[in-house]
Amino acid sequence: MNLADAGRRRRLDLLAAEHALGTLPWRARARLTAVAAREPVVAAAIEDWQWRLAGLAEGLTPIAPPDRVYAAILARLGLVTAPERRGAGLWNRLGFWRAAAIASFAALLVLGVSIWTAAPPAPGGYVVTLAAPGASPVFVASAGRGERTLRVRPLAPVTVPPGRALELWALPASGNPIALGLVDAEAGAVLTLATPSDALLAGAKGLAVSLEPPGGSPTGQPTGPILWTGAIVPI
Amino acid sequence: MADAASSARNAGLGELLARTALADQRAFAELYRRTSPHLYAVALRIVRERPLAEEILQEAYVSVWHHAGTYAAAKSQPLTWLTAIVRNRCLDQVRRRDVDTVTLDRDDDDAQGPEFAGTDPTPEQLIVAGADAQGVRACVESLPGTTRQAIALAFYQGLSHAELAAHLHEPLGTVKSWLRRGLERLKACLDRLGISA
Repeated sequence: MNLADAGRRRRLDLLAAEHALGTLPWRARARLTAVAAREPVVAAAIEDWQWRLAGLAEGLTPIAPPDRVYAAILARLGLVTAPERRGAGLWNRLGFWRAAAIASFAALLVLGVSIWTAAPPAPGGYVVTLAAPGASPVFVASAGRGERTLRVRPLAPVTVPPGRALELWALPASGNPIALGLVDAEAGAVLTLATPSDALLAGAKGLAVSLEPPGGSPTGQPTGPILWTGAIVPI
Repeated sequence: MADAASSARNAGLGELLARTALADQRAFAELYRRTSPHLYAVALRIVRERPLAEEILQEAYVSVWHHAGTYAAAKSQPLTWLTAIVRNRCLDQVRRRDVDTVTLDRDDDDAQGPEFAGTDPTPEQLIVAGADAQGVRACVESLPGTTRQAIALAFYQGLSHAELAAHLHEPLGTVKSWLRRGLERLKACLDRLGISA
């Protein structure tokens, strides 16, 4: 790094600090926000400062917001406001799975040709597209009926933080997630299943990818955030 | 280094965020119950208007529902991540509002209700109380008094460069350079302690 670079880096860091602290006037703030939207280095510098400073807020006396705020959030999200039923989470909502299955199937139609020509499976099987809620799919996983191989292929570029790995899980109808193996962000994976695909996938709720230490979760259960999920679509 | 209670609280929140990323509505409700009083306090201090603070809270949690999967535990504590989202939205609002108003000194603003003004510690007391949780107390305390005061006012009350200058009765340029030196020293100190973000 030459002196000019060092100087520029220092100036950027100061601007990022002022953006995060909030003291920049609107025009300068908006300009830097716009630059951050297309320059990851700038976005990262601002985020680092936001996180550095945010801890200072822990001394504040909490104030409960009025109930109408949460009701408004649920309304904006189109979620039920009725008292929650036991087990009313995602996994038990038929509508969600219907939507997820339709999305998976639509993605399959788009991708079908390339998947099946690249790796012709036995007739019939399972397909799962993995995505964050409301976002485009990032991986598609497929297994032929009765096969012990699950193929995972990337659909969109993803960034994995350094020193972290992606791990794929099956979410059985009941009980804990079952580790299936590590997935490479660029290459995907060809995973060998402990049981034939039908036993594992036919009744399962879906697949999920979590962020884990290198080599995968040390506990046998997801330890990092769940990044993407998808419903299983029999085909 | 966060203290044990803070780590335990954040560990639970991390799991709630992960379940929220799976669209688990009960986890989201619990996350809201446990974090919204803190975030509402952050927002009220900066925007000083109840309806606007409520609106920002709504937008922030709608965004959390959609983007919980992007939270990276390796980079920040859950509450830190959430606080950064809310502060950023608040600051966008007040800085944009500055442009539309002539008055620079928001201290005359009487929209500030007693429950978020009277009983709370002063910004400077807060910076020490809050810093304790993140282990940056020593760093903040090492700053000169005026710089510490300027950073506290900016952080907790959302004052801009111009507002700080008016509040502290100092020229704009002086206040800016205090702040810059203060932020640089804060960063150097945090780096020395191994607290990068």
